[in-house]
Amino acid sequence: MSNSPRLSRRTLLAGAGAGALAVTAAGSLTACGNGGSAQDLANGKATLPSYQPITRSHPDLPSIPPCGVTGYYRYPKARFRSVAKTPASGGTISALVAITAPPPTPHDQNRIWQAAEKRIGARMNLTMITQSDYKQRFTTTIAGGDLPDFMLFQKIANYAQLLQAKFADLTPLLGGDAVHEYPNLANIPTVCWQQAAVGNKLYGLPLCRNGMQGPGLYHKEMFDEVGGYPKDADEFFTFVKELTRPKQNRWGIVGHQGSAYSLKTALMLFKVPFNWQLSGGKLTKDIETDAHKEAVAYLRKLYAAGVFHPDSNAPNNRTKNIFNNGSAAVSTDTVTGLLGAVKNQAKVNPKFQPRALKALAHDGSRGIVYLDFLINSFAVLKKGDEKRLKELLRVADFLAAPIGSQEQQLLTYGVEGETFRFDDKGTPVLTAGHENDSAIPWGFIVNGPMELFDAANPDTVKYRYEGVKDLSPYTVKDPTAGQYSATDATVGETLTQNIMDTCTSIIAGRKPMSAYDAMVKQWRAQGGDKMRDEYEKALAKS
Amino acid sequence: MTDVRPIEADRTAGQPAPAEPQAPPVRRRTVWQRLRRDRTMLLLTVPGLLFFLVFHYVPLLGYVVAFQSYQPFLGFTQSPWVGLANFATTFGDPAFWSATLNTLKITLLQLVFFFPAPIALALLLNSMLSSKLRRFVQSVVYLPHFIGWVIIVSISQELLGGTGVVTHLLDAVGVHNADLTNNPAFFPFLVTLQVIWKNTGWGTIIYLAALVGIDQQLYEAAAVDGANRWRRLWHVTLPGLMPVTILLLILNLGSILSVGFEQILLQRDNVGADAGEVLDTYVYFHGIVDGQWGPSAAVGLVKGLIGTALILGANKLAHVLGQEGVYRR
Amino acid sequence: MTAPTARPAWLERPSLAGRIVKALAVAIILTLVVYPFLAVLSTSLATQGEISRKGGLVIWPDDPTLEAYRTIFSGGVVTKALVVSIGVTVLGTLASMVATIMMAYGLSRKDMIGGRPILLVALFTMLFSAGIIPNFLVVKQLGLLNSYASLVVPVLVSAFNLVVLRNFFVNIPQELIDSARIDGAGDLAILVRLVLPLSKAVLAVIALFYAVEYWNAFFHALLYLSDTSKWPLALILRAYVLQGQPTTGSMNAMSDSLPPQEGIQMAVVIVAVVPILLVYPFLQRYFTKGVLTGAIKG
Repeated sequence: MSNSPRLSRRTLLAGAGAGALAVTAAGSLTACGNGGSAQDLANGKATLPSYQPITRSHPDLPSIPPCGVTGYYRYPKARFRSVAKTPASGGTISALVAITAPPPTPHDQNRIWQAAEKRIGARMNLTMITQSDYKQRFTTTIAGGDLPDFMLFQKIANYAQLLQAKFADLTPLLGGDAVHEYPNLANIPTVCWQQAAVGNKLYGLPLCRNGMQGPGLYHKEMFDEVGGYPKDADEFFTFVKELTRPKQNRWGIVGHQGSAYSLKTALMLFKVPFNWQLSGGKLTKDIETDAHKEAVAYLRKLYAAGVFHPDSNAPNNRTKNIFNNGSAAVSTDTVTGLLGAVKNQAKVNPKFQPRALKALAHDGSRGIVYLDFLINSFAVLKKGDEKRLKELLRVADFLAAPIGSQEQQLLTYGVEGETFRFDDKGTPVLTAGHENDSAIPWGFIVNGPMELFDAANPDTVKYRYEGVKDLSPYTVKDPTAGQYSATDATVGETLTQNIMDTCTSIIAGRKPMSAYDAMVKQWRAQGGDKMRDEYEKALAKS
Repeated sequence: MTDVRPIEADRTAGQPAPAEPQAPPVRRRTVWQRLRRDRTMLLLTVPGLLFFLVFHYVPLLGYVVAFQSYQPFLGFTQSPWVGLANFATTFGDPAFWSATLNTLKITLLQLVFFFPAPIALALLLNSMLSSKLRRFVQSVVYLPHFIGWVIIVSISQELLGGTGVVTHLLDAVGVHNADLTNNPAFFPFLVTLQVIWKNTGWGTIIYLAALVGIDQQLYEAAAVDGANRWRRLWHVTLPGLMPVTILLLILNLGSILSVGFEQILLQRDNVGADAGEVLDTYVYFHGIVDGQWGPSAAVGLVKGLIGTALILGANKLAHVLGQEGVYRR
Repeated sequence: MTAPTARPAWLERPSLAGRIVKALAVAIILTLVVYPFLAVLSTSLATQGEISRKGGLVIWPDDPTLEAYRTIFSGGVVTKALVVSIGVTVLGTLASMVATIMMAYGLSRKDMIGGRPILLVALFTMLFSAGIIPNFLVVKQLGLLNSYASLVVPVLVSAFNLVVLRNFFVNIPQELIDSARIDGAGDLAILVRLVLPLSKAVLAVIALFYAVEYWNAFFHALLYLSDTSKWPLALILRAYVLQGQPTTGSMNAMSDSLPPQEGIQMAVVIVAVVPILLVYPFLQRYFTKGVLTGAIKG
């Protein structure tokens, strides 16, 4: 593959683009007196908010570092007030957010929404967009120029410049101990805040998640049948091979669309560095390591052995069902995906024991788990004067209220006696006519540490919690987290897609193993080397 | 009436078929006279024309991003200009050409197999004597049009995939491991089959409308002249369908570089990018995912130009063959 | 009105072989179409447990339940959206038909001055689409954001429908138009008294195309509306369908993983199709019955 012509044009283009941008940006921005290129502007290290966990919620299952995941079998009894004063002083606060579920009852009939506004002290104007379509609405809103107060952020090309030009720098308001003015925001672990920082500035409010997607899920009862939990890569292979019985409609592994036959599972198995490896100030990309190549070769071997379910690239729902109904022993689904597997498991087959895969290393040593699901995304604040920003942060503080607080109860269930009542176990139940009032996506403006709670399905709490707890000690961070590379922000996803495509084809035997090195070469030529350079410089300054 | 008609103003002369001499007298009109004559017609086009100008042509100015490194927050006026760099990047990428080739493979297959399908089904429906049954069939076959691609792909996976009914049947008759959904060579056919299933019934509607426009007396006259049903099909029905068929064919040629984006995006991983990447998914992964609008616009511009050339060319060809096409020469 | 199996005198009796072949073809087509649709309906009536057990598609539910439909219709969101969708579809189709008929008829005179350039102006819009940002900016500049009009006005005329309709108008026998003109009818009178009555079939088809387009449209609502209370049904249903689907193409960002909801997804398909099923027979009348019988002679 000769991609060198593309290299020169691509790099030229990226370079010219970035340079020219910085000039234009500087022209329109009087506030930023920092000269130099946009890449430089994004470097450095932000002073992140210091972590001050709230302990008044009394979880049944205690907080797991680093993301502070907790579990609750019952709704906490003693309800404390986490926000003393009315956060806002009238007017309207607007937000553009995503939804993963159908929208709630519209504002004019939604009693929970109205009740929450009363306590917040402002009209909360939420524009909700289905998550899959969110990027389009985000981009048009940016292009249109009328920005809402809060906006769920998307990392589009040159997002550092976008952040700088349009959104508020929250570092002076939240950095260090300043965050203690907002106790519910201080309840968010620093590692999550870092995901909302770019270089030396903090821009966003994180939507915390459980930290890791994990290597995948497995049927414990099936593994028990063939010898328990595997010790290394060879045993894993033997087990899934043994569990593959097409005649009984069962396969070892099912992937999912875009997973490249569970590539990520194999990467953790072979202890491939998470995204980049940093040693002595030098970065090595994961695909440049031998371990990554070994992982691909390993999956190629698995594929050839017929271990993968034939529908391993099917749309998500299908592959979830394949795992849930026992047609595959292992799935690439996330720890969160355990929710669906556990919830319906009793109705599918009471003997099934779907669990999260544990950390496992190919050579039997201590395994690793990528810290790849710290946040969903982060919400940014429109530029404004300090008074307005502080007001917005107070509102965010209100919205981040933890379970067990009056604020959380109000935001989720509304007013006792009107929109909900407590059942005999002390679980809030929405009253008739208000069932759909509750799905207000407050959690897409800011979301504190994950609280696992499902009174109707305590097993989903138990096994998800256990999954996170088992994986947490092994987590590793992406060394470039919180750093910015203009090239990565422009062509990063495209290059990743190329890698996933090539790996998928190699694993499925459509391309020879030799295509791997060409792929790495192509990645370096099309922007990889430039990315490395930018990240190394950024890291040197942080 | 194929080619010799050089003077614009003379058009009226050719209006009715030349064989019938009762046409209005041939006379030249000045532009002013024609404007006067056509003023009602012209006025009628004004609202539509305004619509197209405001909602299509004004936004088309947005194509400038093909020559820019467009940043939504800077806008069209302040985004940096990059000349032809977006074109150079795209056309210098082998993956772009592979995607173009895949697109053409699929659209050509669809032209050959899908395009005639609604015509055939419409003729079959039309030939059914029982109008009750005909209506019933008609009101069932269009239903798949309303099922989204996510569901169609899932259904197709469950029928044709490695664990599907069809695969088991094939296995029973000696064709082993015939996983049609994971087979790169079969992919264009699979995609075409899905389109046929989804849209054939829906596509018949327009041909049925053309069929009812055919004068029933023509059939009767042909039958009286001794033409059997096949000859009537050939001499009455098909010529009656010809204008709309040619029209749709030409319009189809215009979109020869576009195939169902969602449908293919959902299935490309099954067969890998080498077989499953088409232009629209290429643009998606090489522009939109990263928020790079320039390369997407560049591809869109080129696609539009090629579509224009094909439509104009096909229209010329239709005229040479004595057909109306989209518009007259 | 003709009896269901009326056979004109001139039409010969169909041969047995021909009838068998035809019956077979119809049977195969019906199976191909009905089987998956039945699967969609059955799955919408099955419990999530059964769906999971059977791998996603249920051909016949063991334990039918209306749970999925109850979920969709609870809370009144869908009912409100249904009203919006019906309003937008009816008014939008009317507006579109008027504008399209006017323009198609205006362009149907073959030697009209400026006719071809105007037609080309419309035709090119099928080939070049500007992308979402410029369209958004135009709608914003016109002050249509967050209005129901933004769901209709930007898609008022479809070039495809225009070209098809014009093609049918052009193919109306010129003799009819000429004789009407000789009787003293003006351009508008010809449209109303002659062209439209003769084009009932294609008008029904174009109206159906527009109506279905409006009914299924969600993208403009997504880009232009801010209040969920204004959402049309298609967008609400999309939210149900997308539940549990990760963002396509993106592997790490936005990967909240929800349990599958096939029952609801399939119910959504049914809910969206029912109104079309109801309207279809009314329009079908027009394109299954001939209009031109003896028209030229008379």
